[in-house]
Amino acid sequence: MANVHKVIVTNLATLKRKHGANGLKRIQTAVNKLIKADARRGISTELIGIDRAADMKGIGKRVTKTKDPRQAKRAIDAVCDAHAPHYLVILGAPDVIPHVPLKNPVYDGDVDVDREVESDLPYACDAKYGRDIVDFLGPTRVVGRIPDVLGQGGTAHLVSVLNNAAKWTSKPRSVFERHFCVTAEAWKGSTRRSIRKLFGTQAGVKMSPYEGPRWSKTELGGKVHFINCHGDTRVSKFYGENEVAPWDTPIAHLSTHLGGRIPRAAIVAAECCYGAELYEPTAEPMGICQRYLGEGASGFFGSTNIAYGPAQENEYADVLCGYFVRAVLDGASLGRAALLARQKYISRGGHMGPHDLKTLAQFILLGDPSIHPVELEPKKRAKAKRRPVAKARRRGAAPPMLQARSKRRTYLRGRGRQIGVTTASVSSKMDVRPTAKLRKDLEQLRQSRGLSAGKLMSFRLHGPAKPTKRKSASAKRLKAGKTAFHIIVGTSKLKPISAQDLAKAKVPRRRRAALAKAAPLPRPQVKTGKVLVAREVNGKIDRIVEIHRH
Amino acid sequence: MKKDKRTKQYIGDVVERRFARGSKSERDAVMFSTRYGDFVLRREGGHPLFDPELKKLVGKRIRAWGIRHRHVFIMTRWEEIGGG
Repeated sequence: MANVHKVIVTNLATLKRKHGANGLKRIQTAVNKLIKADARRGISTELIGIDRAADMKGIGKRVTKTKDPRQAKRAIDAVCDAHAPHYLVILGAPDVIPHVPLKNPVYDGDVDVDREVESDLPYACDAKYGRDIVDFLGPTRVVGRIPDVLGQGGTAHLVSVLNNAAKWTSKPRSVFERHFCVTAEAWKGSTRRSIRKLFGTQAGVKMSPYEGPRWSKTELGGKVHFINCHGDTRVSKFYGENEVAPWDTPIAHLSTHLGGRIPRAAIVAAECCYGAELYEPTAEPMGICQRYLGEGASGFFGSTNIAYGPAQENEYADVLCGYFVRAVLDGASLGRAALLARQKYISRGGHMGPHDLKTLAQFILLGDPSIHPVELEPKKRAKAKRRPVAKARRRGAAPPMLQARSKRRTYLRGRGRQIGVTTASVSSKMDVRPTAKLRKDLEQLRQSRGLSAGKLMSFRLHGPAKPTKRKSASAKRLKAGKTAFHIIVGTSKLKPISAQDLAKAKVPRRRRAALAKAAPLPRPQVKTGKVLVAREVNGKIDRIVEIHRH
Repeated sequence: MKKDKRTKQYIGDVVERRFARGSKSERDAVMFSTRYGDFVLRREGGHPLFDPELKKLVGKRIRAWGIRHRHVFIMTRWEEIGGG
């Protein structure tokens, strides 16, 4: 069973039921093409039907209920234990291999309506099946999902995505300097910050409502697409937002407009709510994530549900997406970039707050994880050339690239396990009640930020399973049991917006008329909402993050 | 375009409420309050965040045909049955 570098897991019976016998044959042909293309790159790939007794023989129990995430997780864990693959590909939408429905720590039915966080994170972890995100703070596996279309049909789409995955070639870093970035105007500060970190310049950030959604082929020609807009469930569009008139949320990005305009092998990071939600297209066309993949994009990193981020700073979705794109630009495969992003996100502060947990779980990679969009730097390439493959083979050793990848996987596995046991985290349930004094402080904070009475959710920070002896300064300060996170949710009223305000905010004249039609001016009843995350250390509030402002 | 087999008929009141506070999707949403629970109301193909057509239904009782998806009711057609 040794020497399998990449495992493609799927449920063959379900694929057959969805696509028919002929459809399955076409999919298998496309998978075989991918396997051959991988072999030419020195990657040995195997397709495993986790529902087939023959495929799972000597590995573990096969899946008998397609929709059961527990069975899927158990089978995938067994496959990973047997092969220790460098890449794990989940082939199919969640109706073939389900997402694991993790408990959403910030759900309260009003502020956050996602009872569950549909996630592929558990498949990236060695930990046993569970529904608590806290159990999956030690990701070790390089995982990506190549989805088919949820529901019936869509064979041609899946075949096309598989064919694209077989054709990739790495390109120099310079090719990826050209990017396409669209943001809701209200979050331009945060997006510009993200883009500046990635590309060294904030130029070229497109802003909705003033630009789009009918982007030209030249505009969409950037190899990296970074999107920070509104999204919603079962919608094939992303939306912008006017900074001064929050009810002005025109379409910023349109699934049906992407056909023939996306450059081959583009990489997409979308911070939008539901950006990577896989839904069954009926009257609503296929989602943006699926459309990108169908149009030849290499990978799409996005969220399966409601995502968070501040308007001006970089937090939560901004940070995770930034880490992902950075790792890709540095030459990592898409799957390794997703793993590195997750590990870095968990370890960056030494502790995980409630919104951190949701962010970590909700972002998934769609696409073949073994694709390396960016070529190795010339220095590293030259080093690899000095140790030719043929020479290594003559010595009976693995080729240098393979050796290097094996080393990286060993390191990432170890690092993931270490992070898993050394990271402090809140639990998935509210488990602390602030003291009377703190409640008073929080109340003052709420009032000072102009928020109406809202909900308060409090979580205590619990210590890691194995605390390290060498502690960072922040770890020393944030002692478990003495640190808590308090989430204040409220709404605040905006001052009336007049036509003069819109003119001052440089809202183009043609849009001013549309705004007036959509919401008569002035509109004093427009409310804005905020979530304030206050961190309490030793009974005092030491940090306040305003997650979002509308 | 496929017709969704999950289309069902619901009766309920249309109300406006703050929704998804603090998230990237926060807004005053038009909600559909039914005996099966409250859902964010949306027209098939309509704007999910601000739909002026739906605002006209606020305060009314309607019979709507559509599908439930997560916390959303996506209606393909509807009729007013009183209220207001």
